[in-house]
Amino acid sequence: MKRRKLISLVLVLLGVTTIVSGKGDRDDRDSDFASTLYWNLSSSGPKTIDPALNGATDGGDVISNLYEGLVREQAGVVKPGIAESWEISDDGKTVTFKLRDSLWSDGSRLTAHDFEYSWKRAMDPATASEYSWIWEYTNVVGAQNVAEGKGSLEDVGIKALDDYTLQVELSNPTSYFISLVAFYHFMPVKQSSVEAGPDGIWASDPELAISNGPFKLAEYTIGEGLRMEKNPNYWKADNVKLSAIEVAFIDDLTTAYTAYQAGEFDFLNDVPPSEIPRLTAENPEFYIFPLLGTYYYSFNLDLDMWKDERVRRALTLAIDREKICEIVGGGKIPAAGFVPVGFIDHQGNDFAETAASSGIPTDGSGIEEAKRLLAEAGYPNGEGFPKFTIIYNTSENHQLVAEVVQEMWKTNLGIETDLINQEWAVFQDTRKQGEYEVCRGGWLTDFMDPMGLLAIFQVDNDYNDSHYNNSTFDELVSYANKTVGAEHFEALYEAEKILMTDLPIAPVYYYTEIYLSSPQVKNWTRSVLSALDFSGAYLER
Amino acid sequence: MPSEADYFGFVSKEESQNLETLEKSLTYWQDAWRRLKKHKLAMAGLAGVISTILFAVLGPFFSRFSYSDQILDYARTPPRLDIYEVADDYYVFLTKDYNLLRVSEKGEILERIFDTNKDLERKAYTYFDARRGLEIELDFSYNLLPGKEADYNFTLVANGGDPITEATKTVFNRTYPFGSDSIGRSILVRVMYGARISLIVAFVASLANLLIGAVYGSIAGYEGGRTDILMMRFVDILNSIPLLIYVILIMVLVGNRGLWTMIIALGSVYWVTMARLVRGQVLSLKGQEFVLAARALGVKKRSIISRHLIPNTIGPIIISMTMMIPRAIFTEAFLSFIGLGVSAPMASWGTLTEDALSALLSFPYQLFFPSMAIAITMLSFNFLGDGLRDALDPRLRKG
Amino acid sequence: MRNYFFRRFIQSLFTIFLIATVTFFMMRSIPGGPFTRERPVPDEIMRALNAKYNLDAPLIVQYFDYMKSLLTFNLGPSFSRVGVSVNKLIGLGFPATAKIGFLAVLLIILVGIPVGIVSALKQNRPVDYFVMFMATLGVTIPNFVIATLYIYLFAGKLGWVPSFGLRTPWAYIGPILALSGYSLSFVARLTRSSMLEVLRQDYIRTARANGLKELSVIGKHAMRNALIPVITYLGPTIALLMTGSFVIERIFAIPGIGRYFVESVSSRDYTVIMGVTVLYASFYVLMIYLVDVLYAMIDPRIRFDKEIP
Repeated sequence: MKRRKLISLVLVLLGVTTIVSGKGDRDDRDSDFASTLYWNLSSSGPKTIDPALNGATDGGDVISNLYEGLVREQAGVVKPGIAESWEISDDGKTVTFKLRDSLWSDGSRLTAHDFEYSWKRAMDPATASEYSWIWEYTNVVGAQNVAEGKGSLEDVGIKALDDYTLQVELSNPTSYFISLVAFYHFMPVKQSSVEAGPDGIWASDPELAISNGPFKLAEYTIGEGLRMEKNPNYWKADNVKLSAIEVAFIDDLTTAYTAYQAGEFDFLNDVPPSEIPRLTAENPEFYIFPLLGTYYYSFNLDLDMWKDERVRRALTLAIDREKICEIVGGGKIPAAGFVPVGFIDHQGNDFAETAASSGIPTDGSGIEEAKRLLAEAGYPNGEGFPKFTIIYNTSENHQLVAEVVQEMWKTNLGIETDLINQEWAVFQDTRKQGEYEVCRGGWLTDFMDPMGLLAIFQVDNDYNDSHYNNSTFDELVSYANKTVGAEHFEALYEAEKILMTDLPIAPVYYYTEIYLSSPQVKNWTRSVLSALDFSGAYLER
Repeated sequence: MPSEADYFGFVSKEESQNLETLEKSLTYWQDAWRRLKKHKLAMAGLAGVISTILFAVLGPFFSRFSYSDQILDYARTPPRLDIYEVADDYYVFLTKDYNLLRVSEKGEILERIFDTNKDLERKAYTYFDARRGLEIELDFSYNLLPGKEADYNFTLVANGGDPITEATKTVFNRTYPFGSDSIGRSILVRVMYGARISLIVAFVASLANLLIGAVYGSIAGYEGGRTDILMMRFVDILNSIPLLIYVILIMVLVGNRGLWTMIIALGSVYWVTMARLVRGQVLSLKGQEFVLAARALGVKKRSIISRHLIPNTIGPIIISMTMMIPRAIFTEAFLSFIGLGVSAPMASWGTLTEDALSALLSFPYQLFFPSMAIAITMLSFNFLGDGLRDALDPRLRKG
Repeated sequence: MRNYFFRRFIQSLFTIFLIATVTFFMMRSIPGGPFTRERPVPDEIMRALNAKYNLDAPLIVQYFDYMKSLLTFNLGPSFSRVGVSVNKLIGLGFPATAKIGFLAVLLIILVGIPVGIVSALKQNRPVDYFVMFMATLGVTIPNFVIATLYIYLFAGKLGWVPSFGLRTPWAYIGPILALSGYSLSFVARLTRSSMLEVLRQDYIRTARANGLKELSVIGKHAMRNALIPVITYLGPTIALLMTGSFVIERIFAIPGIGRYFVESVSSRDYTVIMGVTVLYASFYVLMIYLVDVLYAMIDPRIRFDKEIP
């Protein structure tokens, strides 16, 4: 008897698992399915969606759909946002924005004072924004001092002349300033909201989050997702076709991809790495965009083993970057230099493409030269060269690249290496202390100028992990920081050339970013600084 | 029908003496071994364990690849190849990433035929074999573009000939019997080398369980009182500290010394379940008559624990020893993911499984083989464990 | 005995305190901090951040401050979710985790134990072999593989269940199966093994010889003693399941607290690390305590005292 009962219990439990059930119908989730975009952010949820406090791309993607800055950059084109127009003085040091008459999502008026408040809040150490370092590069008078806790907010060159005029004083002419203020850090926040909830919590509280962008926050559930609804008070509300966006926070890529295939999502920020090569070939829904960043290996120049420039060049040339990009997939671009593609110089040419002639070969064609250089340096076929360790932080992708590079150095040069991976914070510690021989590095910039990358190799820069020290290089970069146009770019070209001669690092590839977007989603766009923009998107279903 | 003579007969003097001496000299372990040999499944398990060890130790000598050898051009080939004869005695295989490989009729990979043109709009690639002057056109638009639904996914056309839609045959991958991974390494060889690490991990975990866990638990249970409380609270603390923090701390203090650091990390935390199980058993056993009798006879504590208590808890000990092995194998993978233990490109079964997970949708074979290796080993250990339990259980021991 | 359990209860509270202390200092001695980023934060901002979260005080002062607030069940603000308190984070995530955990525990007890008993009674018969084979697979196939395959098959290919979250009752099946798989197999094997051992004991033979009904032999006499290892194992396992699993919650996209156990350490979110550790430790210590109480109830021969009569 007992046994029969037990067996039937087991059968019931097994049966339960196989009973066909209706899956979560979308209609349950939302009545106006036809105009609701389902989007997975591919992260476990942003740390914050307060524009001033945020420092991560997941938060940035949400913020740029909730808020609107003075200008909006779409696919590299800077378009008027809240600013109707702007004027730059002849000396290039004064920028005057003329604001349009616009409203916050609660119907109150948005003025130039809101911008003055928001910007000063963002740079104020009391706000403790992780991104306040960016003020150094804005060249706004006094801003860097404030951010470093040395100056007063009174002395900052940002002033609302009246409700619709914002004047900014710059210490140097800054060619990228206008495009920079499209970045989420410079989007306006409403003082009354900010002061109602401490520590940026207001931004994820639908009651308090007052925004001025195409959408407004309707729901926010930690760890689960958020919902944005169309903001009728947006100045270009007529152009906003979506009635709502449902954002999910799923960081497991396989789960999200399965859900996408089952039609539960229209848009994904990432896909499982092993699917990338196939998707690239097969799927027109798969999008690849270049990012303004470079993946590289740093040589620790404090060590004697890297003193000989020929050794560094040999190791750099022995890497077949095209093979690595093919293996990693996702349209990664083999690096010929440190500055990635995507920066346009004063003559309208791509900076990286112009500089490539003085760069390094991207395929295996430099291997013979590499062997020769290593022999000249006294290590024919790698004989006598000490075995060293490549350190990277834990990640499937970093491991893959390190394994391939290790094998290339071994077969092409006869140099033996060990691989060690470390947990992220431990890795940073190791790198900062300089306790490494070769380590993985990566740098992404947040403004559209090669300065953003090259500046990190100035001698006193915090992120100069190689401890590279070349005074000519430093001077060129400093000079470029003070100039615009031809002078600016000539200096930067020269700096890039020096960097690629000295090779304190071995560049590997330029980063890219991938999206999967259902063909039903039309007219979406993104900024070159990688913020997704659904302000003009619509659905065909 | 056997006659009586088959059952009964005179025993020679020698035989009877032999038997007697044998009986007398049987120790606990000899007796256990004698009974284990009778247990068929256990012997199968033992054979399985031994062959896994042989596979790990000897296997790599029979392969031309090492665990780290890469052929990037041969990345992601499955164990079974659908090959197409595009010209006379010219077979090709198309990977899921649309790389074209020339293979022999028997399934050896010979070379990669590089593409000369990729038309992503039309979904058509062109490959060119310069040595033979053979141009192969691939059209994989059939089930991708709207309005074109076909029974086949792609066609191959060699030098403008007839389109080939069906595989000539399906052969085993001779170059990579278990397939190759995302950077063209042999999964078979990696599973062989991985066995070394995973078997060591299994051994360490079992040893820690037995030497630390069982002994610790039985002392705590037997001593009782304050000793028990102190010992078990230590177990509680050890069990509740987040493993990740503990491991990072070890890594920072000791540095990564490869396998040894991993063994220390694993061995120092891996016995708590066992300790609790044994303590529970001992608590209930120590009031029983045989223990009281032993005490009354003045048997030393150490002997009571090792001779009477531990053998009588052998059931839970063996179950948890075998059941904890896969946990240990995957914990090792977790540790090496954080950066403790063996470093890439060396891989264990655990790391092979975890790395293959994200490729599950398109390349399931990468997950299948390491998982199978773990499953077979586990089944062997379990069968052996069952037999050992029966063999070692003193209550089952007969003259 | 009652006195013993009262003392044990006080000790349990002390154990939680010890666990919190050890975790606190270990956590603070590993490299990195809550503001470690790819682009290190400028010194001034770092100072401001540290001041804001009281991280600039001497460690020992921070420790006493934390312990004081812990006594009032105030777990402090989270670092990785700006502006959210740890109490709120746990309050939001715990229900989902606990629901899955509770159902998994139920499944383990209702299936694991009976299956183990049946298997023992039918030793070396096909049912037994089948159960043991499944149990071996159950511990061998890691939960992340079960979970991923489950989603791929039932959500992706067949479309029977939603691919993520807990939106319908059916969505609970996958997480529960994946979460309970290992422990279910463990319990089944443990029950079988102890049952076999008990069945060989003289008193069971005597009971059978006395003509007691099989059901009563198994239920009343055999079960009691066979359950001791099972209970020992189940105690801490329940604590573990009720506080969730990082892998399961990540793969099934369940908004629970299981993921904080790993995420908080990676992001050095100190307050969340402490919060979830104390929560787990409380559950764990409670379960260990209950196990000891159950020992005494099941087997009156069990003595915790030092002197054996």
